[in-house]
Parts: sequence; structure tokens; C-alpha cells
Amino acid sequence: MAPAAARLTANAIAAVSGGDLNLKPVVQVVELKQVPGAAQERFRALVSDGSAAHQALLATQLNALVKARRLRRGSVVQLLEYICSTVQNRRIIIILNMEVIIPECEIIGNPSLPPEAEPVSQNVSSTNNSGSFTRETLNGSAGSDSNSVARLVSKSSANPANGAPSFPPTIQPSYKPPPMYKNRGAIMKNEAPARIIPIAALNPYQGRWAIKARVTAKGDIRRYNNAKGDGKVFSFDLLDSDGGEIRVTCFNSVVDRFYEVVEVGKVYVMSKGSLKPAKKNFNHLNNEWEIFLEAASTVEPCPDENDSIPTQQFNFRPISEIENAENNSILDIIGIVTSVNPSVTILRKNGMETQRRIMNLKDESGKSVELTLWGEFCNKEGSQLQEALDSGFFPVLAVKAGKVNDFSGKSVGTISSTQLFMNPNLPEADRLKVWFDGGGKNAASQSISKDVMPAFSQNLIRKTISQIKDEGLGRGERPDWVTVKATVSFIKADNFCYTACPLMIGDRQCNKKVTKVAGGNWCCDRCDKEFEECDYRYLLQVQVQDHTGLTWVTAFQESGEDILGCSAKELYKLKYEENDDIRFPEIMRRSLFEQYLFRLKIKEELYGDEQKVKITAVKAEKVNPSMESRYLLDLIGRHSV
Amino acid sequence: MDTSSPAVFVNGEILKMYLGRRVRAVVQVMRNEGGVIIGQSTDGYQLTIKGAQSLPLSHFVEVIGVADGNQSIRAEICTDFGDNFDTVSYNGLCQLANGKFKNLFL
Repeated sequence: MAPAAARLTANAIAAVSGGDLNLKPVVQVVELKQVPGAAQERFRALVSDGSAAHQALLATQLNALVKARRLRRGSVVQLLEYICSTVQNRRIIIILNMEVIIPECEIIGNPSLPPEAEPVSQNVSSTNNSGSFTRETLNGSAGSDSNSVARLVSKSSANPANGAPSFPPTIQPSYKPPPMYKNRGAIMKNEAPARIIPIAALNPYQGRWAIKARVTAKGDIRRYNNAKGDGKVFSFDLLDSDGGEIRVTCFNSVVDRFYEVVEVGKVYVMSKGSLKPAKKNFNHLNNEWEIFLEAASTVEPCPDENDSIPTQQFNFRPISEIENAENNSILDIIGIVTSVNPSVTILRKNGMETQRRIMNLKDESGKSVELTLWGEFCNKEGSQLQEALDSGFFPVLAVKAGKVNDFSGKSVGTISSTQLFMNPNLPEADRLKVWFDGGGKNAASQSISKDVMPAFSQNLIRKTISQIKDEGLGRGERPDWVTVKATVSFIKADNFCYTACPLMIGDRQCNKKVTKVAGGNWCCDRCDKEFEECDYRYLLQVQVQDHTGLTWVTAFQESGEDILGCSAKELYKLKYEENDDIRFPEIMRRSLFEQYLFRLKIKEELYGDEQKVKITAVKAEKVNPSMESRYLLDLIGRHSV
Repeated sequence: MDTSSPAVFVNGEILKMYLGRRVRAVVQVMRNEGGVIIGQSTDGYQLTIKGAQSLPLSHFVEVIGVADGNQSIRAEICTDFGDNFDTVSYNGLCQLANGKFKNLFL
């Protein structure tokens, strides 16, 4: 077994603090402590290469290692991703990613600390000042020493090939940035340029930074009033070429400086903002930090580069996954708009009126979802979508940052930071269009947003007859509504209808069963009236079968007429008044062995002291071979492995 | 029923895989040229049907015969399916019958 010291990378500390970010050295943690007073849990360490040690700060994503005791005093680790930064005049290695090689080990060698340092016990978490500190030391408000420092720095940055500079380690040297970082940026004045770094690498301990990103969203100026007086604020979101995103916020006078400058879709180089923890209630971007621009901040338009940074980044979830999403969670979805309802005016809790508009989105997952547009969206995007549908097109709609609502099933609604894109130029949109035009249009899909019987035929749940019993349909609190494709195999000829009250109650017929009274008239208990002629309504007991089994369903007036092809009154006359022994059986017989799509309402009810599952056929539609074929094609496609 | 030589469901794309074999396809009549029908297959290819009697334009006809070229069939039986036919479903059928579910058909 090789001696432990041989495992640590020799002279790693000198190399790393001298600027070698590609070394990936193996070092030992000789001290590990939590930073006191920090807003977020943070750990700092002393890392050693066996002879020299150096202060280091662990990025929060490594906290788990410490808490799990995988990383402790004595651990031998390999630094995979790290940067060197100057915080309050001290050099610190900030470790972004590491691998624990040996969790527990005796201290190797006799490491000594760098000359100017005591362990950093000050408030490392003061974020606003780190940037300005660096500036002060370099720009020199302190006198000639600082001036020469500034000159030294700018000289070496102009000639990066000079190698290790010969000034004391308190000054930030210019080092060759690792290949993944873009080495661009305007060289202005006599300052070394801040290097452009990925948004994902931004943190409050970063010395000088610059980012190059595209504005993906811009908020409105919001005015507020608090203890300090009146104020205004606006925010905008940035996306860079690595896919990193971050929100930028400006207050008061800074709003005036930048509100007109910043335009959605354009690329900017930004520097000298301060980093603070992101407010997760309002900021749904994938970044723990937020940038706050200040008086010294710079935002420069970058007109040349337009292709390396995408205009928008999405993380689409299939509609079927929304069913399991948490209430109030924020997500992106994309789907085909199948229907748009008109705007309605809604009174909000604060007494203000707003517009609401509901539409349905459908995707290949076999599910559809209700999308609620609020406010401005109703008139702008809402109208555009309505126009498209009126012209017979079904547009693709992408939603960025929609909010899940679980009031009635699961639905998605817009919030202030939502963005809607109609027919976006995305591969997902093309895929959806191809699916839709190729049969997806007619494919049945289940709405995750409603738990009452849906009116549209798009939202059909298909079951087989055996599934009714196997899945215990109808046993829940509410009735189950399903569609079953089955064939009529028998119809009970006796008592196929009942005598019904023809009087109107409001805009509906009473339909209560009426009884004959002494004088030969009919009497309705509900309407409390007598009349000569009653109506006849179907109450058919029909046996239906499919390839899995058979069951009895009750068909009332509408579905009865669908099945038999004539009204109950006509049939009653045929049988009981004309006693037609030929035509009546003929009608009954010819309705047999027809295949229908039955819309069934299934509910368990108490009959005497027995619970029985009662199935009512609300609708009986003759199977349309073309539509059914398309439905089956889609079903086969979805269920094939 | 003679099941010794089943006719394969084909569209324009799949026809060329079954040269010399018995096939069946539904095409929409585009032109009649004295004993030959030029029809459009359910996936948009132009097929030549030889030995067929004239049928009304834009009607759909099912042709059962032998594939004798990448885009032609020597017809044995032609049946007029009328002018109302779902080509999308038929095309889906052709794809499934020659793909995943070939064993159910041949």
C-alpha cells in the first residue's frame, strides 16, 4: 500500500491558487466548519496537499456530503470543479464539485497555511460588497500602492502568456480561463475585463463576473408603497447558451436606467450586479440566486451574437403527468388547442374585475387539460387562438410557467410570469402537429380537469363490459361515466315504456309517471293536474354484449329511440292499440345485433336491502366505422410496446 | 375459401416489398386508360392497375392481384368501394399488417 502522502497531488495548493483550474488535484480536508451567521447553511474548509493548506468554501450543493458525514476532517478528496476568488482581500478556493476518495484518514504531512491568512471567520456571506471590494483594491482609492497594483494587473491581463505573475498572492491574477468559459468581452478603460462566465456559476462569492444572455421575459414596472416611501421595481429573466437562467431585478432609479434598454429577445452582457437568494414564491427559474442591479451595474447590448443562445427554454411535461403534479406547482406544457370558450368577466376577491377564458389542450399522452387564461391573455392570445379555431385550424400552444390548480380535477392557469407561444418553432410543436393530423385529432382523450360528465365527445373513457365489474365501476360516491362499444343482444318486449306526464315545468317536460283515474283521465302527482292524453317514454331493458361479457342496461327515451328507431308512442300504439303482430316484432328484431357506442352512467344503488349496480344508457350512437378505426389505430399505437 | 395464397394489404410504400406476390390495395381512380387504371394509393403514390375495367373517377377501388412492378399491379379482382372511403385508416392498417402484426395476416 502506497504511503498516504503519495496520494495527494504535490504542490496542488500553489497551482490552484496560482490559477490552474484544470488540475483536478487530490487534496485532504484538514479542517471543516460551518460558516457562522450565513443566511444559508454553508461550510468552509482548509484543504491541504500535504505541505501547504488553503482556505476553501464549499458550494451549497456539497452540503449533503457534509451532513451525511461522507466528507469530514481528514477526508481525502479530488477537486473536480473549483474556482479561485478574492473575498475581502483573501484568496479562497470555491469548490463546486468534488469526489470523496477516502472519507476518513489521518492528517497527512504537516500542512502550513498561506502567509497572510487567519482562517476566514468574518462574515463571508456579505454578498453585496465582494464585488466592490475587489474594485476598490484595484482601482485604488488608497494611494500609490494601489495604483501600481492596478497597472500590474492590467499588464498581465494583456499578456496572458506571461505565466505565473510575480506579485504577492493577495492580488487577483489574471489566469487562463478553462476552455468551457467564453473568453470574450470588450476591453474597456484600464481595467482587466471581467470574464464571461456561465449563469450557473454565478454566486455571491464570485469576484468580478460578467454574463452574456438573452432576455426571455420582461415584467412590467410595479409601483409600491412601504415604510420607506414610494418605490418601483421591475424584473427580467435571462437565459445563456449553457441553458442557465436567472432573474434580474431593478429598484427605483435603476429602473429608469435599464427599463428601456432591456428588450425581450435581445442579448446583453451584464456585469457588476449583486447576487442574493432568489425569492422562490415569485421566481420560478432554476437558480438559487437572483441578480440585483445597482448604480455601478452595466448592461451592454450585444448585437452580433444571435444564434448560440436559444430564445426560450422549456421543460415540457406531458399532460398525463399533470394529474400527479402538486397544486400550485409551476410547469411548462405544450399541446393542441381543441376548443376555446369565450371570455367571461370575473369579480376577484379584491373587488376588481378581470377576464377569464377557458380552453382545452390535448397531447399524445391520451389526456387533455383545461387551460385557464386570466386578464390580458384573454384578449391577446385568447383571441388569436379563437380565430385559428374558427378558421378550422387547431393551433399548437406552448405555455411557459403555468400554475397547476386542483379545484376540479387538475387544470393549469396563467400567472403574471406566464408566457404563451402559439405555433412555436420547436421540434415538440412539429411532433404534435404530425400526431394530430395523422389521427390524433380523433383519438379519444380523457380530461384530467373535470370530474363531471364532459359534454365533448373528445373526453370519452372507453371500457369493456367485463371492466365494469372488474373495476368496480359505480361503487364510488359519484356515478361513473364511460363509453362501451357493444352489441344489442336482447330487448325485453314487455313494459318497454311508461305513461309520462306531458306538462312542462319551466323548459323541461315533467315526465313523472302518471296514473289513470276513475274518469279515464291521467293524473300527475307532481303537477297536480289531470289530462286526457299522456305521453309515452321508453324504459327499455336491453341486454348488451361485447367480446368480454354481457350486461343489462336501461335505456330511457333518447337512447331508446336511438336503438329502436321509432318513438315510444308509435311503438305503444303498434302493440297495444293496433295489436300489430307483424310489425311490432319486426321492429324489435331488426334492432338486434347492431353495434353501438353506449354512453353509460353506472351507479350502485340500494334496492330494498341489496346494493345493485345500475347501468343507464344515456346515449346509443351507431358505430361510425371510420372514426372507430381511427380510434383503434390510435389505441393500438399507444398500447404497443 | 382458398387461403393458400393470401393477398397482402399494401400501400404504395409497401407494394415494392412484395413483387411477384399476391397483394390487395385500395386506390382512388385518377384516370382510366383503356384497360388500365391510374390510381392514387392511400399513402399518395401513383399506382398503375393493369387489366382493370373502367371505373368512375375519384371512386375508391380495391384491387386484388399480383404485384408486377414497383408501382403496378396486375389485377385479378376489382371491387368498386364507392366514393366514401377512409384512406387514413386503411393506410394505418397496411402499416400494422406489415409491421408489428404481420404474423396475424400472413
